[in-house]
Amino acid sequence: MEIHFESEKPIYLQIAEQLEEAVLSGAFPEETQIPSTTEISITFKINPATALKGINLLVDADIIYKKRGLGMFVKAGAKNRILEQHKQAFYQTYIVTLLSEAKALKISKAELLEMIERGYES
Amino acid sequence: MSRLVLKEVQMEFEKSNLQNTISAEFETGHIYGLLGRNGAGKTTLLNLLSGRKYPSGGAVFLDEKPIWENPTALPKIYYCGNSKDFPTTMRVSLLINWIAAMRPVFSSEKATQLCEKFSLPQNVRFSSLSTGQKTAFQLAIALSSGAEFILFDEPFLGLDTNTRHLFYQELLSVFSKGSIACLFATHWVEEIESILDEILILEKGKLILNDSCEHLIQNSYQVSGPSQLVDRFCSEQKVLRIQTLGGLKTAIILGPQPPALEGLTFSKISLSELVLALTDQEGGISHA
Repeated sequence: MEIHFESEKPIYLQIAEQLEEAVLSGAFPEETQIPSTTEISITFKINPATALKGINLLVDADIIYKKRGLGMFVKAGAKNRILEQHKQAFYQTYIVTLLSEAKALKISKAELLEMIERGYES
Repeated sequence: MSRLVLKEVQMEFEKSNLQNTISAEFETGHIYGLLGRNGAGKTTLLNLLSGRKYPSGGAVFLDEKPIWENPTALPKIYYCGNSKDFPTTMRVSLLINWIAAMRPVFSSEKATQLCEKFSLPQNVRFSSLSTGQKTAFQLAIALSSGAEFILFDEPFLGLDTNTRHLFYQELLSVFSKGSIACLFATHWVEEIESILDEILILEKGKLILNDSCEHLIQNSYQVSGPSQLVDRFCSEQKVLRIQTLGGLKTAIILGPQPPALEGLTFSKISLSELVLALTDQEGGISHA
């Protein structure tokens, strides 16, 4: 778990992403408690409000929920929700870019599909 | 939530005729950075805020009541600096008791616990401690003060990396437990910037900036590229600092980062770079 202070990406966003990865990897199993904002702020040496901002992103995305008086927990089905989100992002980041690049290089749909098949075989 | 307020407090700078007033508000639940160059007036400001110095103009209020010689307000504000307001020949363990007798809300247990955590020998005189150990002791006292507003004046003097690390752990722990505010007056911005959420910058006794970190980050950036392009771009911007390396120019700008422009690279800047740019002798906001 690491925060890159020089990165263009805001710290609270990095926190949210790291926590998400931990849910995905199983480090934070569903329906178990995640570290508090205090623990997170201490680990990364950041202001607790920043940690909270990152956590709230995950609450809004239905990944984490708050149990009053107890703390924050990973919501049931969070892992699948994250996978879905990542798949959507994959489409935007890779597929859209791939198609635009293929178009620029005048690669036809058939050629592209053949390339993908080839990739799977190797 | 408590509020500590500086209301038009007079700041004198270097016995000159330059006099200006400062107004600022501090609320519990925040970690403030009071930044600026050596001699900018940070210690003076903290002394005014903690009732150790009487302002020649204006006043300081805690929850709307003046703090001056106010026995209800003063224990709620703790100044942690380099001046030793306690008998330095006393042994550490006895010193903790002495401080407890002076301060009604001080926690001896917490202070002893923190001294152990910072690996401080309890049975030696304070004066025999090393520079770093002396600093660590004062930080332990500050964190045990029971105050709502803890003012740290250059708290890193001689502290080794491990102790600094432990200090942040304890600080954030104390901060999260109670409703307190911490103020860090320092010139060492890089060390502290990640835990701050509000920034004040002092320059020659004047408050030249008072803003949230979030807002500052969103409203400052760096632009670099060929000198001509940068010059043209900068002609309509609030430029704080320019650096030239051959035909390459880099400028630090105050304002929202614009969308991508041909030939120019935009990137974010760190708080320390921003503070440097704002308090630069040749540039800086006073000249912008």
